[in-house]
Amino acid sequence: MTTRWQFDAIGTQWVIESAESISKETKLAVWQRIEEFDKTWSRFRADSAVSQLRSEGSADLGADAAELLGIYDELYGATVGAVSPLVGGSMEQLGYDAELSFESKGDAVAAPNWTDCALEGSILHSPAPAVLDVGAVGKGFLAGKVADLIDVPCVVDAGGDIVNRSGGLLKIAMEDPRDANSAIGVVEIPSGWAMAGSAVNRRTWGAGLHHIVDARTGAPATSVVASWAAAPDAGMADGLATAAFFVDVETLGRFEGWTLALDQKFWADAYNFPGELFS
Amino acid sequence: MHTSRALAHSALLTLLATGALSACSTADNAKPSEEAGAKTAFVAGEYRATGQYPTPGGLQGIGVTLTLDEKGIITKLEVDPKAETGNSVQFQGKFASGIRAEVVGKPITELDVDKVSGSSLTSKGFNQAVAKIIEKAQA
Repeated sequence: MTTRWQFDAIGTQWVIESAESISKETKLAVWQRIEEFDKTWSRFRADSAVSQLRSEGSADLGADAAELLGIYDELYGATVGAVSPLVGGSMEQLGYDAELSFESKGDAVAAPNWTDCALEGSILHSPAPAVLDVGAVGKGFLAGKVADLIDVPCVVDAGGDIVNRSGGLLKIAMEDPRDANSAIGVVEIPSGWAMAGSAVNRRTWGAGLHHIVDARTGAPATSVVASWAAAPDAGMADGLATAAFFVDVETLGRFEGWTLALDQKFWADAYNFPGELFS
Repeated sequence: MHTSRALAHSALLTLLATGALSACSTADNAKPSEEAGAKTAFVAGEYRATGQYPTPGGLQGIGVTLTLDEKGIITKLEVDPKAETGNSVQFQGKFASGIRAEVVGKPITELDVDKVSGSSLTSKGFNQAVAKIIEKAQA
């Protein structure tokens, strides 16, 4: 990979490395794709479709709705409701709100039932106003869509969600949550696959408060501190990394790919993991 | 030696059956084979075994290397899930599926990797917001 294109979008740093330079037209298409996604799905923007759901019972979530929410449907089932796109209200209650106040508003509040919502075409109907948060799947999903637009061999890295379209194996180190200069293991990701990682330590704003929230209780996950997953689908890889905070990695073995969860005592549990762990 | 080899097989089968197969067991988490451990003395050392099992792609081999101490405790276990033929990578992957190990950090500079996956590149907005709150709290 010889050329490197770096930019900030959807609140994270993107690094796209490619064998050949990416054309201006393609770059413009990537920018538009990201902007369109953000304008639909961001709960931090007042003009987004998701913000419309706050006040109205339905919103048009655009062309990605069926695919993105379809991944949530699968993860919702596998985690018995812990991973849900309706977790936004629970997060806001904990202080992760649009104003980024990081002030808890009181006791944890469970998310509304995802199964009570219905998707009709691209329009989501909710029985009551709800706050959608697609943080568990969205970044990986978008990284995959951006990779789809790039017509040369490339590796897309959206703040740690890595999509490998290089044509070769990509060797990836898994960062030690205790020390960003260390890794707890390495793994190879084949071209066409994506890998995602999630850790609670970097997005903590108070004792036990972080962004990975159990929709059933509205409280942050407690036993797992970091997770990684890989799958052919980038959105699914991202979602599996979140799901690993709530269910046994073996339970996630029903999906193509692998999952690794690291607990507070730094024991790693992995399923179908093809890499090396340092022990 | 012969007895120990047999134990190696049975210990492996037990581990496979419980799904607790570990690529890097340590003395802390490895458990002695309960039945055999009570009756037999063991010759400490490294043992290798190759097993076979049927798959839709034909009969496949799997290599196992384990280290036993004199109490019959497995102190190290390695499974070689290398496929010899056909589509066995996937099937053997399932055998080596459950890994549980205590991990330690290794300096990334010592590793030959293309990328690092972690959370150090967390949202800038998030980090700035948290920094502001900390400032406020300290003021």
